[in-house]
Amino acid sequence: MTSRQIAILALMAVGLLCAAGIYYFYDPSLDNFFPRCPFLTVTHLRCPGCGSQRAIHAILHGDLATAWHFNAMMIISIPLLAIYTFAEFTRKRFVRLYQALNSPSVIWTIFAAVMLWWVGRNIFGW
Amino acid sequence: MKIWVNINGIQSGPMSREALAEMVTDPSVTYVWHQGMPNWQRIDLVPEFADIVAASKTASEPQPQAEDENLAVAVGEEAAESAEAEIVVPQADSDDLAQDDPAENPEPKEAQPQIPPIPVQVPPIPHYYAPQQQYQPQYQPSAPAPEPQGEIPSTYLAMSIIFTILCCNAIGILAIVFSALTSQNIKSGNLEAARRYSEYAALTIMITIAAGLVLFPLQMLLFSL
Repeated sequence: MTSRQIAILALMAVGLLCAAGIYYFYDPSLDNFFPRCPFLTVTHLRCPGCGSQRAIHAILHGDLATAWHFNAMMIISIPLLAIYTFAEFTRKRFVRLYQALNSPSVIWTIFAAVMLWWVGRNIFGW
Repeated sequence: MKIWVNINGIQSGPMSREALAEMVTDPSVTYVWHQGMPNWQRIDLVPEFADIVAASKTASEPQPQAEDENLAVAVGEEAAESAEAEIVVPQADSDDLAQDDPAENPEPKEAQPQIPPIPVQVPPIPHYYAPQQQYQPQYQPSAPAPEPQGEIPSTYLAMSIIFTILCCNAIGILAIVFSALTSQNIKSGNLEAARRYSEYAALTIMITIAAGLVLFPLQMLLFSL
């Protein structure tokens, strides 16, 4: 790892910790302090990320079921993002892992999943 | 200033600006890199070398080839041959790549040339990646490995997902599309287009962040009143 990567990782860790602290102690469903989704505000439709803040609050309090209810896609994406971050930082060492995760078919699949989620949650109220 | 040059797939350097000026005969197949440049660039796209390009165009006949350049060409041809051999077993000296089956893996490798794909010629594998014994002793490995970050552009997929699902703005979905287009172009070997889409993805992510930063205080103001 280069020193630049270490710096980025350190920054990410600090940022994550701060965010986790805020989302642990404040409940986004009660507090006006948290940003609202502009898409929801304007269209009254839910975007793929709506509910993420409440879901994070729930996860930090160990309530996975509530988190799943607020935004299931986000729960799924957390392990996925961990794998992607790992692959990004070990791009040199695990070339095939990085290539597999970033192949067009995988990315288009993710795109399709997000679009389905977006449409589905507005129709079926997921 | 030390400059590395790649003419028609044959890399040499470091050299002075004057030596470079002597070597350039066809700017369209001449790529240059020096410390401070993020990536190789065709010489006629680099403003600071505009005079060299102009001089090479006004020269009515090809410039006499220096003896050592002929040598470089000869060695370079061998390098190109070995580069072809390399394609069969890329990075034979690296553990995690040794088991790679290149037939299944047509995508350009991270460790493959820094140099943008040059038409006609097999892109050379820079000597600092290739096994040493592939080269004749007089072909001096001299270029430092330039930071390979610009080499194969990032798809920014992780960031795209974060700013679609974890954050609060639906335009993140555009970044995922650009990620996919980047990946497609990497796969088909069109690195130039891949870089462009990679930049679009990064730009979309930045716009998402900027929009959030602008909207957040506005909302705070609106809703906390």
